Amino acid sequence: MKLYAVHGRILHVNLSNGKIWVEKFGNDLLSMFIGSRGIMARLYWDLVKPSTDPLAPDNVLMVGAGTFTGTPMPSAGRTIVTFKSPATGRYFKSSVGGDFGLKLKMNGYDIIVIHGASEEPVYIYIEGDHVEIRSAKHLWGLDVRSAHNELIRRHGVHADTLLIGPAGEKLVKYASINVSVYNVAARGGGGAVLGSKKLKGIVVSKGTTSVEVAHPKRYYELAMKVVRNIMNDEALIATAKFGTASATMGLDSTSTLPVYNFRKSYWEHAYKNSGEYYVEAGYLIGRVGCAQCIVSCHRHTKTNKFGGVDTVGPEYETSNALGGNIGNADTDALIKMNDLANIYGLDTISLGGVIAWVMETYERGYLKELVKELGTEPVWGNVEAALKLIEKIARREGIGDLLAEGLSRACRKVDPETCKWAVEANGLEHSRVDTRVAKAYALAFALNPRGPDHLHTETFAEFGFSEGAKKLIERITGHREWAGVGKVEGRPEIVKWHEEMYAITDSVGFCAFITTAGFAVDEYLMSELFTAATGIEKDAKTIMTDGERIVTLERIIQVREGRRRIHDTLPWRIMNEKIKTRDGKEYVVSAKELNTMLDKYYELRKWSKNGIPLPDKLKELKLEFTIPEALKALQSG
Amino acid sequence: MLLSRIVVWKDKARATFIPMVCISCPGMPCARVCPTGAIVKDEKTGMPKVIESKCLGAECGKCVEACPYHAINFNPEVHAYPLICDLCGGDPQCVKVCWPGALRIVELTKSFSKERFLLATQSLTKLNEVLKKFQR
Repeated sequence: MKLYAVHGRILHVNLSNGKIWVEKFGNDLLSMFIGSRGIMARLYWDLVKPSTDPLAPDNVLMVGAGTFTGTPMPSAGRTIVTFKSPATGRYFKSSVGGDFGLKLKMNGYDIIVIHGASEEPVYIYIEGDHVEIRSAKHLWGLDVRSAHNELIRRHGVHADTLLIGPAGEKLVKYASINVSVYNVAARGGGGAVLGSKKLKGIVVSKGTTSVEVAHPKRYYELAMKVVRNIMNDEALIATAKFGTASATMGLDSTSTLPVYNFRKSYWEHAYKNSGEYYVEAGYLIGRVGCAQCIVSCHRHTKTNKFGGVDTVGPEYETSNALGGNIGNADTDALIKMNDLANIYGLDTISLGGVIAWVMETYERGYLKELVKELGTEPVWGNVEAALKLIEKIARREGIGDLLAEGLSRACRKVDPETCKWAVEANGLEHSRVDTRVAKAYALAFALNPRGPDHLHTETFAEFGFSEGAKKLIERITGHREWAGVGKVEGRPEIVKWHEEMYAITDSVGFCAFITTAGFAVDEYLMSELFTAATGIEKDAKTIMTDGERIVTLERIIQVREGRRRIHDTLPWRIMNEKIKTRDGKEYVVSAKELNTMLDKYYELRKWSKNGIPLPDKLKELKLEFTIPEALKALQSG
Repeated sequence: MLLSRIVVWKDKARATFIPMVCISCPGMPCARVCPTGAIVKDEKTGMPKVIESKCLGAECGKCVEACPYHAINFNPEVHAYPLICDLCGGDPQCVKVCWPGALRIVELTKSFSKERFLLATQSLTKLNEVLKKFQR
């Protein structure tokens, strides 16, 4: 059967021996795993051993374009990056916007798989069937912006890049991968994986290949429906106007805005970290869109302070991580810090988590020698100290070498007591929402294969900010009133639905805003879109089963890597220290509360009490090849 | 993706986006250089129209070079003829999806014709700056 929407072509590049080859796939794989994220999880199962060291040559890093990417579908330009993470030591998928996925597809490939490691710095150049490994000696050490400009000069204005900065080269455990300069696959340390392979980046040329969809007329009608849904969605229009940082004031009002390293959940200066303020105070000079997107939530910003900064961002997570989280209400400094993270290639969520931990640790009487090294006290709101720390971390200089290891490792080295306020779990620093108050977030973060992070299963509808959100909660649980913070009812069901929807959303290349933050596409429309694009028959139920297949495969991959119930947890602070909300209520995620939610969730998923998918379920989901590993795990407990 | 007649040039490091599209300039240099007369003016829309059967295809490409606004897109692997904005025959699809209203349908008056020319010149100046920056 003919393939539609995708090329069915996977480009393999082995940097150890210079071999380059193309592997083909067909509708059977596409139908089972939907697209980039699902297919790459399946490839990961075969390619990455449980014993593989994330920074060793036998780790692979995959970059995949969505099934709808390269077709006329709005907001479907997201690219997925999959690898074993040096931060968590397990399977990791990161998601990114920009134009790279589109250009990859226009060059005739759906997925790139990078194997091995080079001895000298290199980059990969792709121009259709012509694929080349080229020297990157002249690029090594350059920041992302300079390296991009250099490569564009070489390969033309319509080319696009995927790059690491100095932080990736120095193997910082939370080094990011930057696409189209300012779009960042930030989490999990993918940048360090590329750094360990001595791969500065990948350049894709303009590209002249296109994909066909199975039912063009129907597909076009549905695409126009998605356009109308986006235009009618209040959350998406707010995002277009004020960017992702338009969330700041909403979270502040619901007491879920973590500031001062999760010691407060709302803040009098929150407005200074908000998208509305960036517009009002004149920081915003333009709106930037990813490939195919009509929302354009990315921000082009400028400040004349700090020697002049012209950059993109900050997003919501950065606005909080390097804003209120470290007591910073100086928007100019925030823009500068965001730009440094951009060009050095650092994940701002982890970076903010680390800096906040340094500040609290210092406040509690540790790390006193830091004053000498930084020339200033690392106290709350001291942006000078924060800027110096960023430079040091990116280059692994002085204290930066320790901090570059991430919170889970750094806190143990300084003093195990300091791990109590190291807000991380499973090696990953916690995303910027207070999970003590938002309970579906708490469960989703505990279960997340990445660690406590939002961009894998964001249960944004839980807040009930919009009519669409309330309707969705009602559709999943049957109870409209279960939308809202602090509520525990129906959370396992809410998380299950979001996990599956996210798996599909990522795989087809849609932005999560389209399906789970805004509500332009639901599972019914999604299945129609998939059928029109690929010609493979799906309905709402079967496509959610495909989502379940991907989620379950990712779980069994991690089970093979040692993950069990004990790892389905949250940072110490979230589970042991109460947080006070605006209206004086106190919240914490107690072990009992989390365990109750986990029990119910495992039951819904048909996983064992220890979080291992049971063979019957694996069989039902056509994941028979994983059953021997499940049995092994069930025996060992 | 390869069908759009609007070409967006980008300088990503500066977050600069420059959309270029045919403004049906009076001299129609594309039509003038076409060796087979495959480009004519569509009287209904005032836009250039490509007579596909007459076009020599990828080997020629003279119209692409002649367009002062870089507004002709040619992907020989997809189509054997150049893509020039034809306003979708009078019902432009881009306008329907442009919710902020950057793209609109406007009656072609003398004053608007002048405004459009100024806008296009501005874009062209910006584009030339970018092209110069990345010249080797």
